Amino acid sequence: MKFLVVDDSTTMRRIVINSLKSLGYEHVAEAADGKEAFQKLVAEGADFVITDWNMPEMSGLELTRAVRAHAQFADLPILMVTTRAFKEDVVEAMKARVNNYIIKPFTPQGLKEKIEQILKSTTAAA
Amino acid sequence: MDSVQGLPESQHSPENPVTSFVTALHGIIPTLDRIRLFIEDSTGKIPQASKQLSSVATATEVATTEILDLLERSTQTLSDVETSVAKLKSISERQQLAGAALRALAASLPSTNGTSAWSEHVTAIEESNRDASTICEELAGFAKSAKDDIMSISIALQVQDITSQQIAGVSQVIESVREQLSKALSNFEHPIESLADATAPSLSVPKVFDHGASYDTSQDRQESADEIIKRWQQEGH
Ligand SMILES: [Mg+2]
Repeated sequence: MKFLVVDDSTTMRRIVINSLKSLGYEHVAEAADGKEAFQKLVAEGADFVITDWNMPEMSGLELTRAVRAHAQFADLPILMVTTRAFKEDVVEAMKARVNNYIIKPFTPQGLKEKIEQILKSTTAAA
Repeated sequence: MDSVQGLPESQHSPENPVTSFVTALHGIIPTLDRIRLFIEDSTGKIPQASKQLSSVATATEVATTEILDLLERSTQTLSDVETSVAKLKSISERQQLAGAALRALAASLPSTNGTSAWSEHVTAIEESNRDASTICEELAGFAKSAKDDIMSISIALQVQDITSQQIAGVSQVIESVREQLSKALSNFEHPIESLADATAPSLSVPKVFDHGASYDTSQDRQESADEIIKRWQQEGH
């Protein structure tokens, strides 16, 4: 299972990647904004995207919309991990079709649960 | 006619309105000058304040990177410890098998069968193997616990991303105040061009950020979000 971790904060990318490794997910790529992430996704592929919302060039929301518009990635699991905590933000992200939503600061347990939930629901749907 | 309040007659006649306007203006000019100086002073200080904020953000990021480097190195060291302990445990397991084989061998040899010296030696070997195995399990537990603590420290460093967004928010407010003050300054007769035209200093804070970012470790906000997601999914979107 290959993860793509997208965040403009180097610190956040390292923390998410370390958490994934502690959960046994060793195969992880990273990108600093939505644009770079989309290019990497098309060029190298990924099985799971974990993305921040607020980023320069292309936000996590725009990335989600771009990914969903691409037939190849219509069902790609996307988990939004962001500081944005308003109800409207969560609704907007769900409308853009993220699979789930975590508010920073996240916990490793919270991350684990969300990943497992998403994988369970996407394999059930497949 | 008597003079009014001791003033001579010639000064009692009403003052020309233009003269009184000019007199009033003369009174206002020093005040305007003070306002101009205040704005100049404040506008001049803002880039310095922004730079200080930026250096706080940079120092925090550098320190966070150093801490993460150390934490990742420690995690690697603990993983190496875990590997060595696992090897040690497998050696001890092999020795336990060897101990059992030795006991069987002792029982089958007529010369040693039933002698307490043999039995005592084999028992001592078996016991020390069991002890070694227990110690290996303890060591693995310590390593795991230290790794969990390191992960908790690493997780707490999310504060750097969150505070850098908060600093970016404050910097944006300061910059808009500086712009307004610069505009106000340009209305004066002799604005200090260098201040009025000063551009915002480039800051090492996120270019795009969340105004509402906060380091809130309670799970209330996540629970509310989960509730919205659950309802969304139940509605079959
Ligand atoms: Mg961000």
